[in-house]
Parts: sequence; C-alpha cells; structure tokens
Amino acid sequence: MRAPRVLPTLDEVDIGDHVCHLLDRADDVIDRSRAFVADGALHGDKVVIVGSAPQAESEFAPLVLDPARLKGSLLAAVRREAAAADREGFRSLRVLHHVMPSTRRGRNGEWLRSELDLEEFAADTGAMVVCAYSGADWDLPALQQISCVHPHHVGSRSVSPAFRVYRAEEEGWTVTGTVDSDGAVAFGTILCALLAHAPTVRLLCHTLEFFDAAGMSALADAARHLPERKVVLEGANETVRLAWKLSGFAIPDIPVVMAP
Amino acid sequence: MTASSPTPLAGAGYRHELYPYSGSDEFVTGALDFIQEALDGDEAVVVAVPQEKASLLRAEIRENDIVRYVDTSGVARHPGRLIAAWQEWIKEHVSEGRPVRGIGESPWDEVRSAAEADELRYHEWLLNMAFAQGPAWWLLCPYDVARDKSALAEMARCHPEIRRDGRTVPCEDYDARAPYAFVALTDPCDPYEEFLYTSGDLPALREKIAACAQQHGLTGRRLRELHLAATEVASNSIRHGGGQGVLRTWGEDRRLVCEFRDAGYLRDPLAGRTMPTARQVGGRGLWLVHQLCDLVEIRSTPDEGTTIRLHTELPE
Repeated sequence: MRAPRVLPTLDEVDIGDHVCHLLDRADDVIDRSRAFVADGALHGDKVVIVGSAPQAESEFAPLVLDPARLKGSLLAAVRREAAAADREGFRSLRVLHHVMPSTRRGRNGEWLRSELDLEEFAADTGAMVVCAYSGADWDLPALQQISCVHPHHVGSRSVSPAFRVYRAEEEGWTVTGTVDSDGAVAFGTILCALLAHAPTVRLLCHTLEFFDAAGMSALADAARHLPERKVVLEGANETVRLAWKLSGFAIPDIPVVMAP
Repeated sequence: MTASSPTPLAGAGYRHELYPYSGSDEFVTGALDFIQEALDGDEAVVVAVPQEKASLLRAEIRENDIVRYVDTSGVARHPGRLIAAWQEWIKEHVSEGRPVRGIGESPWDEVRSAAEADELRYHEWLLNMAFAQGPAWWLLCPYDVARDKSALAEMARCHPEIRRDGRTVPCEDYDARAPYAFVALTDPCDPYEEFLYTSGDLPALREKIAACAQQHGLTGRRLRELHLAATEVASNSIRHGGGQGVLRTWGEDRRLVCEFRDAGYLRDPLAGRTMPTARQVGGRGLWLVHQLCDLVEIRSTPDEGTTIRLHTELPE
C-alpha cells in the first residue's frame, strides 16, 4: 500500500515512489541528485534523466530525455524505458526529472498533467521518480500545488501541502489531508486534469480528514466541467456525505457518486 | 443592536398573523377555524406544530391531499433552518398554483435558552422579509399566552397581523420600517479560550476548537460538523471580514459555544437561511452552518462588525 512519506534524503527513495524534491534557489540539481543517480548502479536500476540535454549531458547522465526534443509524450518515453529496463534485467527504472516551467503561452498547466501521468506511472510500474523543482524557477503557490500530486517529499524547503492526491493501487486516486478554501482551487484543477483523461475518476477518501464547502464546490464544478464524466467518492465520512447533500449537490446534473 | 436594512415589509402575497391563545381548547378552536376558512376557499393547509398540538388537530381533521401535517422535529428547535423548511413544505402546493395557508408554532415549552427563544422570535421577523416577494400564502402563528404572556409584545412586533376574537386585524406593535431589536449577546462564560486567526490559520483554528471540544466530551461526528461550520465562518472572516477574526470558545449550560468576531458586515440577514441551488456560486457556508449547528446567533452592523456564535449541544 502506497502512503505519503517525508524522506530525509534521496537515499530513502524506494520502489514505486514519486518524490517531490524541492530545492533552494542556490541548490544545483545535479549536485543534489548525484547520489540518487549513482545508487542506480548499486541497486541494479536503469537511470533516466529528464531535463534539457546540455544541462544533463555528462558522465553523470547515462540516458537523457529532453522534453523539448521528444517526439511523443514524456509518459510514453518513460514507459518505453521502463519496458526496456525490464527486458534488460534491471530491477527497476530510476527517473530524475528536473522540471522547468514551460515558456510557451497557455502551457503552464501542463506540468500538472505530466505529474499525474508520472504518478500513475510510478505506482503502476514500480519505477522510482524524483521530480526536482528549484525555488528559483517556481513561486510558492505553484510549488504548493505541485506538492499536492506527489505522495513523497524531500528537501529543505518547507512546503507541506494540506492535501495530497496520489495514485492508489486499485485503479483510483487517494485523497488525503484537508481540502478547505485554501486548497480548493488546486483541488479543482487536479480533478479537471484527471477527468480530462478518464471518463470515471475514483477518489478514495478514507483518509480525507476535512472537506469544506469550497472544496465541495470545486468538486461539483470539476464534475460537470466535461460531459459524460463521473467522479466516484469512496469512503468519505458521514459529515462529508451529509454536507454534500445539504449543499444541494446530490442531484443528477452533478455526476458525483458517494460510495461506501 | 438592531438588524440592518432592508427592513421587512409584508409582501402583498404573504400574510403573517399572530394568534395569541390560552390553553389547548382555544388553540384547537382558532386553528380549526383557520383551517376551515382555508378549505372553504379551496386553499391547501400545512400544519407545522409540536406533536401534541398536531394530535389535537388530527383528531378533528385527518391528513389528506389538502391538509398536511409536517414533521417539524428536525427543524423546530433550529431557528436558522425554519425558513427553508417552510419553503419546502409549501413548495408542492405553490407549484400547483393553489393558495396555501400554514399554521406554525414553535415548541416554546422545550426552548433550551434565552438565546434560542430570541432566535426563534428573530426567525418570525425574518419570515416577513423571506416571503415578501414570494407566492401568496398565509401563515398563522399560534402563541400560548397561558404559558408566557411576557413575551407576547415581542412576538407581536414580528407579525403584521394579529387574530383577536376570531378576526384578523393589523398588529399595532408591528412596524414594517423598524429594525429588529436584538437582545444583547450574553458575556462569554469564564473560563474562555481566545485565538486570533488570519489567512493560513484554519488548521490551527480547528485544533483549538478540537481541544476545547474534547475537554467537554465532544468528539466524532458532532466535532466534525462543528469543525466544518467553524471553518466556514472563519473563512468568511478572512475573505470578507478584514482578513482576520477572533475566536472565543467556552462551555455554557451543556453547550459548547464558539464565537467569531471580525470587522466585516453581513448585509443580508437572510444569508444562509435559504437552500442554495446546485449552480449557485458560493453562498453555501452560512447555509451549512445553520444546518450543522444546534443554534446560530448572528449580529452584524457596519459600525461594530460581525459576531457569530455557534452553539453545539454536548453529549449527556
């Protein structure tokens, strides 16, 4: 069972982990990740660096995937590498992803879709994915939203998300923590991203501690955002279920199902 | 303290009548007369009175398609839920285009506190505003003066009409332009806890409330509901009340009271008292607060800001 963890160092990264590595402005991604990459040889893992080629190319990087030069999606590329690693007898695939903001207009939200893809990839294949974000490149609200879609966290920066959405092992997404007015926008954005790629999204809410009216509105808005979509909330406590009904959201126009 | 404008004006289609009576016989006589007038005029009747009073009327007039006795147990002692309840109770008849009469009496014998009594009277005053623009209907409010005559004048100030000697006459104590005269909030009971909150403090605020609640034995579902209500009120302080507020918590007469003060002004006295629509943007916070708490007191003026008290009954 995957569960959120705060890791003291990248040495603790384990099979199937999807780690958000938040770096200080002065930190160098290569320096801070060198041990993680080197441990690939120690444990028999294939290592892939995702980042701009000039930065990553060196003896440090056995295999570099530059998102700007990929013909297909990043997800397709890492899935290919994971399959190859399996064929070649490696234990697993280690992915170090140095995430840079997109400079193209209208593509600022693409990282979220990419992170959800990588989260699903790590959970499904057992790959170890470390996403390195530099404080020099990302502002705090963005980093908080980024943290929400990683079950694992390492780094000196104290960005602790109130809630996390991560891949559960049973074809669903676990929602844990607190979704209130401070995180409702991020929650809604994540849901829209999930619904854009799946007709039904299962949210496993057994460890969802708190869900307020703003969070519920975000859920309702996301659910009716696209046609022919459905959100299934499983394991939400009776207060969430009551508040959902009291809020007037328990109607056919809003395709959200509250399941036991 | 007085309530804000707009002052409630009885709508052309809405009649709100106080019926002072003394004892069960007078209650039954007056209520049956009112029902019979409705039936003679082909009007529907909704009866929302305490169970024992309903039994007296049922013995005379059975429930049918025209006369309906509604279960008030979930709302009668929660003043903030009553306007929405009436909207729901009359909805079916209104949709058929049939004029509706209602008989509504609060269970005054069971009122737990002076605060609850005042909120019930405030609800009566708000009814005039809530239905001012709505469909035609006529609400009779029986009030037993044999139980307590002292509050009759306060009740009269909330009703545009009054029934005397079997006749409906204008109520002289009612002033459509006068604001509601609130009773001042009581002082917090000692000892009370205080916590200043601002953006980012909602988790800490919930922890403060949980600590106080646990001292008073409030846990589980009821604590989660209080957390939700408290979060909605505090979020309003942060977004609309000057960015911050002060929480006070204390125990009082087997209740946990959470008080929130901020610099904002709640312009609409009906906020949170009518059910939100599914497509409504925002406006659910106070609705949930009224639905989840046992009693809600709201005082708001442009000069003094807003004070909201949430009362939660403690387990025996």
